[in-house]
Amino acid sequence: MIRGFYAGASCLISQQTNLNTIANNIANVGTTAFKPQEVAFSTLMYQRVSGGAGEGSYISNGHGVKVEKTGVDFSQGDLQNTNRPMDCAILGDGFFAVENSVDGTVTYTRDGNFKLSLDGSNAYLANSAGNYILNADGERIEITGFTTDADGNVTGGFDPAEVGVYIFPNPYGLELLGGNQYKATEISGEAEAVADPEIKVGFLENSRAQITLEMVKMIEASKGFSFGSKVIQTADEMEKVINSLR
Amino acid sequence: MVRGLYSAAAGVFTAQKSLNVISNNIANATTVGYKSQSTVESSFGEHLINRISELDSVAQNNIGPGAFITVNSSEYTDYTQGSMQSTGRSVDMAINGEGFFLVESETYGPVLTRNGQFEIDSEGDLYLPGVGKVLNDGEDTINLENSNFKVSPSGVITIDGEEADVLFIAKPSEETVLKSVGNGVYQAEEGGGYDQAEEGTYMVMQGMLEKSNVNMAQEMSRIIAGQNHFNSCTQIIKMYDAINELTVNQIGRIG
Repeated sequence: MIRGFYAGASCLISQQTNLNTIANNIANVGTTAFKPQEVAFSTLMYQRVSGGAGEGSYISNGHGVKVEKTGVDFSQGDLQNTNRPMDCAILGDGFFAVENSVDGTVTYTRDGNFKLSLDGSNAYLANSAGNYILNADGERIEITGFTTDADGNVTGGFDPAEVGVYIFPNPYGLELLGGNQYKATEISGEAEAVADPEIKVGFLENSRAQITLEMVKMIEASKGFSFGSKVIQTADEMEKVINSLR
Repeated sequence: MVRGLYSAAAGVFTAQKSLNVISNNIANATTVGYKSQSTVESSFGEHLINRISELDSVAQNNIGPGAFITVNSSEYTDYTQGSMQSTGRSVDMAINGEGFFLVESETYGPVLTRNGQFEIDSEGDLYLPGVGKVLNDGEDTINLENSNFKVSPSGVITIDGEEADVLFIAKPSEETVLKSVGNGVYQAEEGGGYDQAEEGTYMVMQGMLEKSNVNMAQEMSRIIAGQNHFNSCTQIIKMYDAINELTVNQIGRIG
């Protein structure tokens, strides 16, 4: 039962990781263009243990479970009408390219909450963190001929056709950074500009995390956790009985 | 009396081993593609007792079996279909019906699994994380340019309408006994290995995963029964111990 004890412990650890991921999904139910993650489990190695009935009687004993990877679900989120003239949402696959204003690294995002950023006397399209949005050629987009109305909203000068949308051969390989950003990796492949992207202006893409689904998963994780703890309790009680034999 | 002690001890070991297997089932109640295991206990006739005597008429070769002990004689894997869960990811797959995915593992060679949580690696090959690359019907790796592919229910992979590859759906042959090795995969070693499964006996479902087929109610009741069995056997051991102590320290006391 030493083995069984550790199988129960591995269950607790794995369900905790599962719960952490679910909690993150739930916390981001209101985040623009959030893509939820799901934990994938896999069993630990097996070992052959003699059953006791001589040659050929064996049982293969597993050692529990572990978290193998977390997968991201990139399905399209619903679009929400905001009526702000610089909000963009991508319909279909693809990401906006964002150039960091400090070190120039390029990251990708589906978050289309754009604003103006002033650099000297030039105005560029930027995201809410002040990093520049790139066009299909990888350059910053300059906004000219704009006016601001009484609420501070910018009108005119912004052509959504200029905004670059990029796709990856394998988006499941993208690395998740904070701030709604993704980073290209060897596994995701390189970004490729899309020729005629479909961008809706005045809309933002909602989070793809679904509360009902996450609550169901949370109940599953919680039950899995309590069953694992029952296994540990049972193993503990049996060890106590052995210790009290004499 | 001593023989009875060994019977009780064998009961304790057997209960322990079957509880290890039940614990593994419970730990894997949410693992994709996991098939629950159970052990089969049976009694095992111990060696036969001889009666020894100087008188030939009395001595006999054997007068019957000694203490029976119980052992875990074999295990049984339940390959019932698990329920399906939709994930919306193009790289996730599940099999509805008979058959296994064929994956090339570095440590174990070609292995069978029902776990369809695939990803695409840096070389563009379809692979199962933690195990190895998924094989096609020619037992070769599957190279896909991107993750935007479709899989038909018979296992044909198409990209943009053009056929790219065909998944190997393996069925173990009649005499083969599948052996569980690490990470939820099975090795088809003895008795002929595996063949391509027949069309119509399976359906490959893309964007879905097959959940574990562990039945919690059954596992929990087995744990309770197993623990009770364990406790009873230890009680018998305690009783024999008490009897021995009485015999040695009280009845047999000299002086």
